[in-house]
Amino acid sequence: MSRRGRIDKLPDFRTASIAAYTTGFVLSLTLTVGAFALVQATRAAGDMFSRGFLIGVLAVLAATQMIVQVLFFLHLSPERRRRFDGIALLFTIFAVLCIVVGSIWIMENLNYNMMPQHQTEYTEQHEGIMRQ
Amino acid sequence: MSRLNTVSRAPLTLHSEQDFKPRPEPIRHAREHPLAGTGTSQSKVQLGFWIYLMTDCILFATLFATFMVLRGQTAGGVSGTEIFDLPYVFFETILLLLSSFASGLALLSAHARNKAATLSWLAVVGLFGAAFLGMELYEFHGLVAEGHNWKQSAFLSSYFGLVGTHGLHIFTGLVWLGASALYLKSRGFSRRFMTRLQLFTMFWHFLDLVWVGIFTIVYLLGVM
Repeated sequence: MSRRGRIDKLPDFRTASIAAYTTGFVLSLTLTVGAFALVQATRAAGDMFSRGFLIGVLAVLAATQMIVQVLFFLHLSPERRRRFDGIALLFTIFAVLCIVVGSIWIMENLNYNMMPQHQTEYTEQHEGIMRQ
Repeated sequence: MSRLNTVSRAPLTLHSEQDFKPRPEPIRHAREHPLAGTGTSQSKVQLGFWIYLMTDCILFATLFATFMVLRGQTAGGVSGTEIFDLPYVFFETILLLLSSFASGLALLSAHARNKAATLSWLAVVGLFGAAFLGMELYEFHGLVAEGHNWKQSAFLSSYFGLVGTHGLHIFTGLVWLGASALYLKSRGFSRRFMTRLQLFTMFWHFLDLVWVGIFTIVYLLGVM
């Protein structure tokens, strides 16, 4: 029996091939090097981009790499056999977003509302936000 | 799938009543494909492990959230810009990525029933993984030696908490890897080994995935 045939008989590893791993590796490497080079270039050149723009680009690069690794390394595919894996993953992403975004949101607000007096006066005068 | 397997293993002619008795789990030989006849139970094991990985995601999410909230709370001490050596961490990242890639190749070699290749790739995984862990510990050692330990500020506490937890996972993975390699060396391929290797590669890829988040949030954003 050929090796190919043997792998075809295994539904669990249908997409586990040297091609999948190599693709995943090359893409991950490119994304990592890209993010690293971007930050190094920004540090060398000073204020090349705004901080918000950089954070956005780095977040997109990291998210892309995570998706690449889930597809090419963990072989998560939308086929029926692994449907529960996908559902568990979606729920986890939801929970992770709640924890991370929720924590940052609440703590930022907390910091904002517990600012020292002179900063509170500043926001009242310049941002039009009044303390209750 | 298990029915198919039973059929293929059953003798062509039945000589006695004995053959009709329900038999215990048939002994699987090394030559037989390790995952043959394990349809449902195999995917259950995988699903169970996958759910463990997802709960581990939640653990890391809480640590990430803590870090992101506390990153600016340096208590007058050092901030990320001052203590992180980005090229050093970049090299670490590449090592872990190579290790993750090699674990996939080890799994492919195991599918091809190539014991020597599987052991070699597992050695590569272990080597790069251990190098990664060594570099991380050296970084921690440097920080602590300069007085920047976890007691200095909330930022450093959350930093050591997050990166240290990842490092602990890597260490556990290395122990698991060593045990699997010894198992393969002494007993050869078996269904049990294939399951373990499959779960190990999932774990290892997952740790690389978490590291992508750490590299971006802690280090890349930390030095800016």
